[in-house]
Amino acid sequence: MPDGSFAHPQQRHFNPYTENGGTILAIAGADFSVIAGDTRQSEGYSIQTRYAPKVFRLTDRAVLAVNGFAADGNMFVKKVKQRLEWYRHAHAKDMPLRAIARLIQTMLYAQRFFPYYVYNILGGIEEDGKYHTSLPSYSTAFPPHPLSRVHWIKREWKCGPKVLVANTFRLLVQLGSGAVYSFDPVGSYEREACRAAGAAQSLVQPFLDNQIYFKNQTAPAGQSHPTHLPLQDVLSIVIDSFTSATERHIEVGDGLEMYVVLAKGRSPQGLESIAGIQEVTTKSDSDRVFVIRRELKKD
Amino acid sequence: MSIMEYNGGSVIAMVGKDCVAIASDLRLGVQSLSISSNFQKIFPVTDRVFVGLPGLASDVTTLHEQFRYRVNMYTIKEEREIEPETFAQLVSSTLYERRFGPYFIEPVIAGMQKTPSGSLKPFIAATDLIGCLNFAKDFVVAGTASSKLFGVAEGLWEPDLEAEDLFETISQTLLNAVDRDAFSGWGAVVHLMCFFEGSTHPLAQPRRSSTNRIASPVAP
Amino acid sequence: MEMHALSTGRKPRVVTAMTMLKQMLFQYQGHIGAALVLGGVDATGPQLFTIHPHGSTDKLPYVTMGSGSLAAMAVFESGWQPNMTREQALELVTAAISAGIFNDLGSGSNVDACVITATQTEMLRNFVKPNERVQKERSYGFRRGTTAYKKEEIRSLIISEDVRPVREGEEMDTT
Repeated sequence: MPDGSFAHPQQRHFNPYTENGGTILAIAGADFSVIAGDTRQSEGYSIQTRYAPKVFRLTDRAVLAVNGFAADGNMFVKKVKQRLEWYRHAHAKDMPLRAIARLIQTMLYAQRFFPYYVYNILGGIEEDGKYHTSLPSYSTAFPPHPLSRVHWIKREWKCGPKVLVANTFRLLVQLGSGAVYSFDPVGSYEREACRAAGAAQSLVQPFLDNQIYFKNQTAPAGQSHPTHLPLQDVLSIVIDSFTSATERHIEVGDGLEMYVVLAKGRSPQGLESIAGIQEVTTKSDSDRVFVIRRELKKD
Repeated sequence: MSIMEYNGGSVIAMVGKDCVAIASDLRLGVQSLSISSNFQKIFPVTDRVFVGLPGLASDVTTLHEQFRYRVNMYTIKEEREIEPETFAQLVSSTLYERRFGPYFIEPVIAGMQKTPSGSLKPFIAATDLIGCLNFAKDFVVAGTASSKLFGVAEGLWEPDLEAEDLFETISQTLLNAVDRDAFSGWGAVVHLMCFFEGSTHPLAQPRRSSTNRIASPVAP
Repeated sequence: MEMHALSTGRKPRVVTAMTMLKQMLFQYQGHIGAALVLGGVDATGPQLFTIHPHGSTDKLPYVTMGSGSLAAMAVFESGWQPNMTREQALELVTAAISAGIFNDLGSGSNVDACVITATQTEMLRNFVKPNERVQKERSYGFRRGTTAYKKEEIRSLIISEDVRPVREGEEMDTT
């Protein structure tokens, strides 16, 4: 009724979330990680911007990709960065990757009943890499640092009643390992070798299963599949994943931003030849972060 | 509850060099419960044409019989076997007859089409559930794993694959896509049609051949 | 339309096509989800119509339809002028469709165009192709034998024919 009498009960509803499209993905190598995302931000059939970064450098060893509701994503990244700065002030060092992962879990779960509508993928270098002694480049180019360990070798000889003791030592340098952590919006997380999330997750993830995990592929007789791929191969797979997703998904396109995190001690060999590569590391003598930008189709 | 996802299942077809392949999973389910791991979704139409019928299982049977009847009538009237493209049109018009109460099937057609020169060239097509035809030059997909199939196929497919290589590409595409789909999987079948003319290829002994393989449902 | 032309003995008009289309769409009460742009040249000159799924129509000097219609119309509103040449008009529709291709997610790929004059119709399929896929970074071919399989059936479809002519020189006269 015009005056409101005998009106049916009405319910107003405000939906605080939107879905802004786009796709992110991360792949861990033996001593590097690649974290990538497209730069299109959309709502419905409209493009809001062709350049809205979804991948962020947190520290010199950690990069976070955030996908879903852009407003929540940006706020979440801001808060994670703030917590990491507090950690630096308190401990005079960067937070280790697995600690950042756990921090993200608690921050997401803190919003359990009004969640950040975002899927997070954290990539970078974990401090659990193998110890190396034999590689000459580590001993010469990289002198002892906090990650190195001294491995003492004690040898004894019996010489009649006397015991001769000789102590020698070897310097062991730990090389960080590539790591990827993926999260759901309320903080469930796991460490993986590769993960895709976002609008084109369903297009990209099975392709990654096949090309990274060698799923459904039988190895040649007497051979086995490699556990980690070289950086060049990983970058090719990442680029092809995004160009494929751009072909078949309307919310993916415009630009591609790939972050490469190299473990300290790994030579950046092969990276300098990549067109338009840019280093964004803040400290010397640490893990290193690079950005590679590519164009994607804009239709 | 979506009718298209009630029983599950997926089909894909790909074009190669003088060959074509069509493949499907073998699952039949009722929502999340798997009933059979040997449910046929791809049917021979003629020696040179196959049709894949993913969607509602009861309509798979109905449409298969409908197509068999109509193709037989065509063969009797025309006194020749139906060409793949003609069959695709038959599929399209059969489905559009039910525009406002459709069969819940998204057919995929693959075959070797006669050319004016007398040789055979690969043909693929797919339609939606009301018969809108899509003649693709590379690959077509349908079923509950279609988005996964699109993603993997767009990454793996390349032009002019030889028959043996096309088998690997279509099999890997299907297997990896259905492994990420709860409604598809439980085994797979690949049909490969090739045309050989004076080739030294190991399969070239017969001038025309049709290969039918059942790919392993799980990684060995 | 052909039946109509035959029964009237006249060249059909664009309005006639428009009326037949709107009557059919109205009959189906919007259940046939077709939104149309109709153009043509007849005895009364060149004209454009839009027909909505429920059967309503518009007759305008420039028209757009579909999810990219607002992007395309924006281009028309700024670029259209009366009595444009063939080249000017073709350039404008291409720009309008391109606006949809790049700014509307529901539109994409290539531009089709069609030029209708009093004497002929020119269909320019894939008139502009601004969205070709770039070359992949690497090839994804598999080693033969990669996929494990349990069973293989090979069916040879060769039909061997042995034609032996009998009574040579007594073939049927087909002249």
